[in-house]
Amino acid sequence: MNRRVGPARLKQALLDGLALFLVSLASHVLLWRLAPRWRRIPLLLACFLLPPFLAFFCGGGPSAEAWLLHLALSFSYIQTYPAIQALSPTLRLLLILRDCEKTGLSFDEILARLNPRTLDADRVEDLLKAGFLLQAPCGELSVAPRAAWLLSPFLLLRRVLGFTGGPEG
Amino acid sequence: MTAFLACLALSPILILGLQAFLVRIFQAAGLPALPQAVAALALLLGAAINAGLVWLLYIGGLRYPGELAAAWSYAALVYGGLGYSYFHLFNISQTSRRLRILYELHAAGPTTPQALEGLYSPVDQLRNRLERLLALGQIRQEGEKYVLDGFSLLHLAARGLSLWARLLGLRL
Repeated sequence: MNRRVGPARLKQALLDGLALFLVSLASHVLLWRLAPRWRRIPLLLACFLLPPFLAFFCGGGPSAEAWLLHLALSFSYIQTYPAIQALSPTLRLLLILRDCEKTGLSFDEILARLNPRTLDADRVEDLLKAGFLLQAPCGELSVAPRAAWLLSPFLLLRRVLGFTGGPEG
Repeated sequence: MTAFLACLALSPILILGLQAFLVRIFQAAGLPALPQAVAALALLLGAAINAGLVWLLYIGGLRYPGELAAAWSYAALVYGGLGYSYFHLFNISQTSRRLRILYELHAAGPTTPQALEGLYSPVDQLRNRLERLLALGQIRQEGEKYVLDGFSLLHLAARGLSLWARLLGLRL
């Protein structure tokens, strides 16, 4: 990858950044299809962060401009991935409404089809597995100390933005 | 060139500042506004300000159409990617059920799963989501029924994501 100055360098960075992102995306799709057991977030991060390093070690490291473009596109894809892996209740709700586009659905009908109770049980299970929640032998749930590290930045963001309280959910 | 890149790389901070400003303006004026709509407005205002800044710092000095097209495309992709990431991060702070569960338990102390459901019931979750979709104009209410409203950007996103999930071999 060339390191030229000025506008030519930016043109090259545009091509390099897009190429890096597409290579990363292709490796992610291939890996996910060929090795379902490896569908894990750390591997997703590796798919998008390794190609620029590999290019660097192969002697043609991308420029800072190409890195920035690649990271901007990769962050947006990585942030979207959880919604791809487990469609959010809001998006699932829209797909349910599409299936009954002509007649529509009442609140109770949507509740029966979406079944948020089971979705929530999954979330509690996820949080327990990840060690963010603790369960006492009597069944009571409590927040693990490490959960503060997860919760604090989001609560800080909400305070900076002028919101009171926690997430609406 | 360095200032041009810094301007793009720091754009999420600009969007954060704009959103914080807009939220307080809306609150002071007593205007009810959906947080996601205010965030989208901050994103658009940020795009206009950023476009002006990158024009002043770098793009204004370019002469040839090919150079201009490459520079604008580059700036739009970087701003779009980082702006979308910021929006998503904010949306998580607003709508994530995992964070809501952690927040409720953090505030209430040790709680049984049944009591947790009482703090944030499935009915409340669905009501919150329907109210957001109505406020965003993605669905409409006809009597007791909720109906998809013509062209829905979020519905399009849901279809796109479910297609992509199929390409990845994921089951939804």
